[in-house]
Amino acid sequence: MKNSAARLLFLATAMATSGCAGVQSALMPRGEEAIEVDRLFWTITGISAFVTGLVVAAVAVAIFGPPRWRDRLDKDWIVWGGGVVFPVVVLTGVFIYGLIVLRSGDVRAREAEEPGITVVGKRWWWEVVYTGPNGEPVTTANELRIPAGRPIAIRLESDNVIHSFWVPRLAGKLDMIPGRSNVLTLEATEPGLSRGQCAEYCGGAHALMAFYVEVLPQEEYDDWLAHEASDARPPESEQEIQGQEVFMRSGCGACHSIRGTEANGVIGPDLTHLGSRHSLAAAALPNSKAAIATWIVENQHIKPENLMPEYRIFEPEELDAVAAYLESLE
Amino acid sequence: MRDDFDTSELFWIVQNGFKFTGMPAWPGEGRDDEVWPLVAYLEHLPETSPEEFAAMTGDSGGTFRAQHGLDFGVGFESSGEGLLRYCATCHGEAGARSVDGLVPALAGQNAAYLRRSLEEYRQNRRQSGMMETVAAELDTDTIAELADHYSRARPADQTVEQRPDAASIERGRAIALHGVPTERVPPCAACHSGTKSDQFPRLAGLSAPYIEVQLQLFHDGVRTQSPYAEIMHNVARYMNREEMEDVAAYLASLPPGAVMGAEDVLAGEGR
Repeated sequence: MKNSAARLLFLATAMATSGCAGVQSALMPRGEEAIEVDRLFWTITGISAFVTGLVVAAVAVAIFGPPRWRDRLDKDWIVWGGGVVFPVVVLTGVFIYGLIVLRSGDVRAREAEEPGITVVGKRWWWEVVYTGPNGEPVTTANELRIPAGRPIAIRLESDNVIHSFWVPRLAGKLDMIPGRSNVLTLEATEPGLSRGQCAEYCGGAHALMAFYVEVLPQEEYDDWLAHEASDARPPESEQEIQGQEVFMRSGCGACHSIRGTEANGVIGPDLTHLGSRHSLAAAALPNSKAAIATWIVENQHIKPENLMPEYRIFEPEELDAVAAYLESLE
Repeated sequence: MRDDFDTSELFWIVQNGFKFTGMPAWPGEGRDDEVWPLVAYLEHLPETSPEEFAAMTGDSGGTFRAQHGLDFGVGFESSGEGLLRYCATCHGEAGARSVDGLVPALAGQNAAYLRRSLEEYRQNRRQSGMMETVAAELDTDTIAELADHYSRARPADQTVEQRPDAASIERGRAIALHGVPTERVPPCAACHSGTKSDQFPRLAGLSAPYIEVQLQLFHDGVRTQSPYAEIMHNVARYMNREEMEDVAAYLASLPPGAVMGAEDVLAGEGR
């Protein structure tokens, strides 16, 4: 009996902590703000644990302790000291600490250099607009890349309902409100992959509105941005060429852009460098040829009521070709 | 007849048929827009002389003669010529100019699209009380022949006589060529310019009433039963009535068979 209880406890602990590991854990911070929030969290958790232990010990003594110990507890100063002075001091301290953490974001925001990056909440995906090497806007989607080691201003906007931008490993969350431009400052401490999630209920597919954040060393970031700003790679293999032809003649360009081709739609995500992203459909699917093909014909099943109609008009080899072409857009 | 049934009753009868009488229901589900004109005509019918009737239905001679001395004008022959004559009753000679704005002109239309349309009517995947009954009588080979015939026919030189206002055409042009991105309406030209997949119909020069009705059917979810129609449903659902009218006015103003967005078309627009 005791053994099974212990097993249950172990299982519960394992389940509770496994959710904390990985790319979307606030407990594994890789950003200045997240690190400060993490410290604040552990400080408050430690103080809470200490106070809880103190109270439990005092209660235990009051009930089971020897008469001499119980006499010591039976003093007015215990009530005044433990019930008023101690909580006021501790809570005021924690409050001030919290305010300091809150303010430090302001300092980082002032240090962030222009131009920054704009992220627009869509239904249900993210449009990301960088400023290219020559000052031109570079539009992409569902993935954020930032250089490590310096503060970056992220302008958060929405053209429909309220979304919330949250990358737990890098910073706290901030709402994306229609008609406003909120600015969040991200300062990643080291290169690596993190995952973000919409944190404000925004409709049926809210839970499937996520994204990856790739933090790169500054040089790699500059190279990547230059590549991202360039036109799409032309199709090479026979299948890719056929895929591009099917893509163009089937009207995909009405909603999607592939820079360097006639496809210049602005309603759906830009696909210019789709193949180089970590995920598809706002982290709803892994990025692979098979997943692209599945998304094209079954997207309403994968992400109900998303704004793209299912394109069940292709012959199998046409679908395969389109998927191959899109995957090749690195 | 007018004394027996009032207007709403006539509508109900045409739409639902009459049980145990052999009177069938209207084959086009959700096509109230087809039933109402028929009801209006039924109310007018008692004042129609046989001569007027023959003139209206196109008295081009045929094999089908109904009882009661009425000549329906044309018949349904399986031979190629008879069939084309039958189609011409509504779609006009050589399909170049139809008898009414609600009926699309067929000349120069993409063969693949015409074939698919007839197949969809035949399989009850596109609703129309007129076209379903016709398409049900056709076999695959005949459908292919008809589609081929009309796709190769020369479109009319001029559009159907219309007087849309220039401002409406201009607004429609903006939607057709650039869409309304903020309202999630993609541009018509992305698929229907005439240079894309031949499964997508050419729209230049089609009559405004036909475009309006079809957009409304897409919008309302009546025309969603094929994968292609589902895509259009997703486009039209975000359009309001005025946008549909503007787009229809613009498309109707184009020369039939023109490539939407091409330079020469832009120059010749609104004539």
